Amino acid sequence: MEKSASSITLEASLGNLKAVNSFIRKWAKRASLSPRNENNLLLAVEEVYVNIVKYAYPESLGKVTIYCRMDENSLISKIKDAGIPFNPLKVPEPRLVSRLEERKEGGLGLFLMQKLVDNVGYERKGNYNVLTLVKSRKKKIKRRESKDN
Amino acid sequence: MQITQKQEGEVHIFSLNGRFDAHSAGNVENELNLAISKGEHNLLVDLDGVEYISSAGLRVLLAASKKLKKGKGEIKLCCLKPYVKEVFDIAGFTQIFKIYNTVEEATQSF
Repeated sequence: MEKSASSITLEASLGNLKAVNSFIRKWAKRASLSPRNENNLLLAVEEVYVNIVKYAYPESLGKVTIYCRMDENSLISKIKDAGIPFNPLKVPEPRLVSRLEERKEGGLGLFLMQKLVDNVGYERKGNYNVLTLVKSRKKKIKRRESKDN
Repeated sequence: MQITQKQEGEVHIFSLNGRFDAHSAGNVENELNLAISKGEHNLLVDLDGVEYISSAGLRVLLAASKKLKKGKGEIKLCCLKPYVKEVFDIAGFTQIFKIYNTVEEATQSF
C-alpha cells in the first residue's frame, strides 16, 4: 500500500532547495494535483523554505523538516524549523503599487505563499516554528465549464 | 537555468530557460548587472523558456528595472507562459512592467 505520510529533514541551505522540490513534487503527483496546483504548492513551500534559510538561523546552520500527508480531500504539508520564533502570517502584506519607484523588493514571497494555498496555519510548538500549508485535492470546476461543453 | 544573450540593434536580449527560483535567481541577477554595468540600457528579458517563477525571480527583475530607470534605461519582458503570467498578476507585476507577446514586438517597442 502507498504511504500516506512521509517527511524529509535537511540542513537549511539554498543548495537543498532542489531536494525540497522533488519531495513536494512526489507528493503532488501522489495526491493527483493538477500541474498548476503542483506549481502553486512548490512556490508556497519554496517561499517558506527560503525564508527559513535566510532568517531562521542567524548564527549557525540549522535543520528544516518537511512533512507531507494526504487525506481524501487535501494534501497537507508541515514545515518545521528550530530557528528564531517567527509567525509569517503576522507579516503585513506588501503594498502592490504600480509605480516602479515605490515598489519594495522584499515581502512578496510570504504574500504569494498565502495566496497560493487553500489554508495556512502557524504554531509555535516548544522550540519549533511549525507552518501548515493545505492544498485541496478537489478539482475546482469553473461555472462556465458545464457538462454540455 | 540557461541564460543566452544576444544584441538586436540597440536592444540587449536575455533569453531564460529553466526555473526562475531562489536557486537560479543569483545567476540571472549577476548577468543582468554585468550587462547594465557595461552600459546596456535597453534590456529585453524573453521568458518563453520559463515555466516557473518565485519571488526570488520577481525581485531580480524589479531590482534590475529600478537600476536601469535611474540611468534612463528600461527593461521589458516578453513571452510569459500562463503560470508565470498568473504569478505576475498576483504580485501586481503586470502593471509595473511592459510585457509583449513576441520578441519582435518587444524589440520594436524600444
